[in-house]
Amino acid sequence: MLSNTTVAEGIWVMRLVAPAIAEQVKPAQFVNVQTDGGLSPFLRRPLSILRADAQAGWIEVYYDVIGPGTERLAEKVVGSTVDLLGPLGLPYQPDGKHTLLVGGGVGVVPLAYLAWYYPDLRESMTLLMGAANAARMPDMAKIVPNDLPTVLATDDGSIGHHGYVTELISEHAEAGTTILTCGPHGMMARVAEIAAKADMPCYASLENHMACGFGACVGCVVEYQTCEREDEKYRRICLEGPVVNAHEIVW
Amino acid sequence: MVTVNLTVDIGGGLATRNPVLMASGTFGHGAEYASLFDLSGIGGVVTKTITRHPRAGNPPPRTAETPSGMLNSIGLTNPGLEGFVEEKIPALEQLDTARVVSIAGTSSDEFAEMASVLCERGGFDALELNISSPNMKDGGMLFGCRPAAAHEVTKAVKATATVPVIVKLTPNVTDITEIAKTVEDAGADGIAMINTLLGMAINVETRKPILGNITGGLSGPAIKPVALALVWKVAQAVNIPICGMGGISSARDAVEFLLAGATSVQVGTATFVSPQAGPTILDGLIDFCEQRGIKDVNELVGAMETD
Repeated sequence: MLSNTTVAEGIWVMRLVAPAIAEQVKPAQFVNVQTDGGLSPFLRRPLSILRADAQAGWIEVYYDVIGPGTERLAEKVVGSTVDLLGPLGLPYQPDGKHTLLVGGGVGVVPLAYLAWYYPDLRESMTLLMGAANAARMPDMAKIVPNDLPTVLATDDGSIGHHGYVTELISEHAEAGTTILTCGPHGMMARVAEIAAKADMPCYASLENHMACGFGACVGCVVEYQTCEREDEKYRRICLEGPVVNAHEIVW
Repeated sequence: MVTVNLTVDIGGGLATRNPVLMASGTFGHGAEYASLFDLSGIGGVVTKTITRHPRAGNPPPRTAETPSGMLNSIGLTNPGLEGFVEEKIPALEQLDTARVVSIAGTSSDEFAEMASVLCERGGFDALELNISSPNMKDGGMLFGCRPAAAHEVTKAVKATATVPVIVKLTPNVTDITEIAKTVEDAGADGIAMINTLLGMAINVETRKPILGNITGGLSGPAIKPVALALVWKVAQAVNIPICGMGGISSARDAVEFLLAGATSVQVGTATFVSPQAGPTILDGLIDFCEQRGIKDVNELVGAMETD
């Protein structure tokens, strides 16, 4: 591990030497992280990639300290070893059209990596970034490329737009806009609703508690509106996601 | 160079090349994770349980972490008998290891029908009867908790199956030896044990259950002492081979199960944390035997000394 620092209240960025993952990982893919080698916490924690440098061989993960697993991660010091499994999951597939990136809280991670990963697409992208308040809003200069147009919103108005980030969508959407989103479930559900009304394509990167992260446990599922066969009613976020068509799932 | 004999009988004379198998429900239908798992050395794989008709499984959330373990309420998501035969057996039958198909029915007739269809198709080496899932309201544990029902299901499948039949038992009973003896009487070739322990967890802030299905099955290292004691008890009560499982995550855990009387073991939840858990445990078991001059892994079976 190269560094492990806070970027907002309770939110950390850890940079790790992981050349094989750095070379392969695409936006919205994740690593499943063993926070402790022992029995507690028992399961790995799925963390999305914020940034990767294939040449230098490092990746960055971004995490909110919310329980015993992420608490252990925040305690890790430079030079320590962290066991990773990845890259896992299917990435965002940008279509090159005008794209609104709608992020909330730690949901900014795959969207930020998308902007890092596709420098040529940044001019067609705008990031709408929501957080509870200014303390929970990271210094965006450290998170996203400086040529990515970014608009902030906070629930209490302590920085940026006073209100939900979803209230910014209508003024930034154009004819033919695609929305890529990641954030709290309620926020993404609202984004999907707005996109559906405006007939905009919308892809969401979902999260869920996972046991394995590679499809075997069938624990991290999301319900689909329709299925051809009963066993496809729920599909795995780790393997058939985390990016899903927001218009196909049950919110 | 392996100098230890690792071959064991898992039931009905079915010899596996070593005693470490991958447990049902933790390994897909055998071949999906070939890129992540090195199967070349493993003794066998047990498929995710198949039911007569396709099943969606239970609503999420389906997993919850617990101290040294986890709860799951997956609910036997599977493509059904026809889907399994068409889509999964072709890859399963190519595997160079013992292939065990796990089945669950809602009646003894349905169990027998599935066994018959599968045996006619072939491409696998044994059946494991899941009469012990805590996540199947219309079957599962309902059979495994009642001696008469366990007997009837086993007998019905034995009447039609052309491969060894292993019955997987639930720990959620008063006297597991009674169930073990009755399935042995009904003709079972082997016993697999234990399935998960019924469990639950509650979010105290929302006052809601953490699992969508309210209750689920507890697995992982937390249940190992329980599993070990039950394997030991059943080993005293029956003469058919026992495949032991419940929280095995190291070679020493596997040796404990052998000493308690299991002839083979299954690795399950440990795979979720470390995809290479099975092969690692096998390597460790070989080392354990070599370092102690044990020429045959069967020497360990039931070799606990109580004096």
